[in-house]
Amino acid sequence: MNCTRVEMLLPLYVGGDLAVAETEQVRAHLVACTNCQAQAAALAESQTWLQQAPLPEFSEDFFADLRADVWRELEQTETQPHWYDRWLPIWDWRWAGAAALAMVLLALAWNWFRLPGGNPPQEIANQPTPVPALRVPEKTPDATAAHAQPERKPIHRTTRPNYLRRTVVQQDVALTKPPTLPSNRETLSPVSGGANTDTLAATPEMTRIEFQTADPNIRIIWFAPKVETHSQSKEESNSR
Amino acid sequence: MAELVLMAETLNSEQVEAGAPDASLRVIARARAGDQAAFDQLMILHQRRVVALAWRMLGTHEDARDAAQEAFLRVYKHLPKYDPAQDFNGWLYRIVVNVCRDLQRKRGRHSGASFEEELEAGKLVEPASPANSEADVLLAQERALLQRALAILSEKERQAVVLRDLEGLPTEEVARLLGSTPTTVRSQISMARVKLKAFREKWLKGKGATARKVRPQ
Repeated sequence: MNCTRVEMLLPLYVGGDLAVAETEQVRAHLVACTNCQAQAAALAESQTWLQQAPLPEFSEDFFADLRADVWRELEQTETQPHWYDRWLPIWDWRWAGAAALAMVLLALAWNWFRLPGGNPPQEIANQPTPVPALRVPEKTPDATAAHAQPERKPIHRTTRPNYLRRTVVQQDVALTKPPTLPSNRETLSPVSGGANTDTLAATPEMTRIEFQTADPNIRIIWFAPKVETHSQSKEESNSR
Repeated sequence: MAELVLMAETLNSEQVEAGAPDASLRVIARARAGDQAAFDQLMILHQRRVVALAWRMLGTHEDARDAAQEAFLRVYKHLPKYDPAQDFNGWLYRIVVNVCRDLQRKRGRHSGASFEEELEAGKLVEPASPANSEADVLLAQERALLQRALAILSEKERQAVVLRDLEGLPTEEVARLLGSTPTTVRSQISMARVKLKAFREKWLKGKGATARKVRPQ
């Protein structure tokens, strides 16, 4: 063990705070090293001086006053009413029960108004919702509803190529009601006053086109004017 | 209340303290049972130790008194929960240390500031008067030196060194009282001892220089 290491351990050595093995090592070093011996002696003297330094004098009056203050404080604490005694002088378990019941009823009422089945406020119910309709078209066409959207223009009617026309007609038949509709579609259906896309789908002029993407939750629905096929036009001309 | 205090003071506290630990235990047991005279006797038994520890930890008479008062109030409050199998002095030490730490935190004093404040305010050295003998003056100087020495330590170092070197508690007990580890406490004690040694050497040098200046006159 060198002097640097011993100097680090000396403060603990003089106080007897080292482990037995380290104490022996330091003691062995001190036998040979006079410099470290002087350091150890100075530390020991300092510690003795600290332990023998006199405490300040506290008179008997000081202690008598201290005890009197303690008793005074205890008397005040014992006679002082608790905060709930001051604020609720008529405290009773019946009041506590009534208050708890009122809080439970309040919580239930609040919860009921927040539930989807609860009656929403009238102002909100009357406002039109901008959410587009995602409801599955029904098979019974409604003529009056079909005329509700007369301004709707066909999209890309003139630019659609022939090969796509045939596809459109086939999909109209095949995908009108697909078997794997999202289970939450009812929650997405519009409230009264929303855009009426069901009526568009129900009209004889409009075609509903649905594309199921790889994600089962995403489906593209497209309403387009119904395109006449070659066989249909021929039948019509024959009937004339 | 005055009667109670008088009655308690009439008990020979020194007999209880020095006589046998059984007597002290009896006083504690009576105080636990709600005997107010016994609690007053308990305060008399431990007041010097409590005030001395608080003074060493905090550094001023006022703070020491406040801490001792609060400590005795806590003792009174928690005495029914005290386990007689436990060492009463250790239990009391823990309360005093906690009170001192709370007081320091509450007052937000920087470590050592209270010692310095008292020194600057001149409260430390007893006022010199013709009645004071030379021995009294020397004693007052010694106390001032101790206070100044403790003032150079940080709060944690002072707490550790007071409990370990001045109160003589084992390192593990000091660590438990301070909510620390024995390793940390040893490190703090080591640092504090080095600082105190340096302070004493500096003071001795200054004393020697003053003596050399005074001698030629």
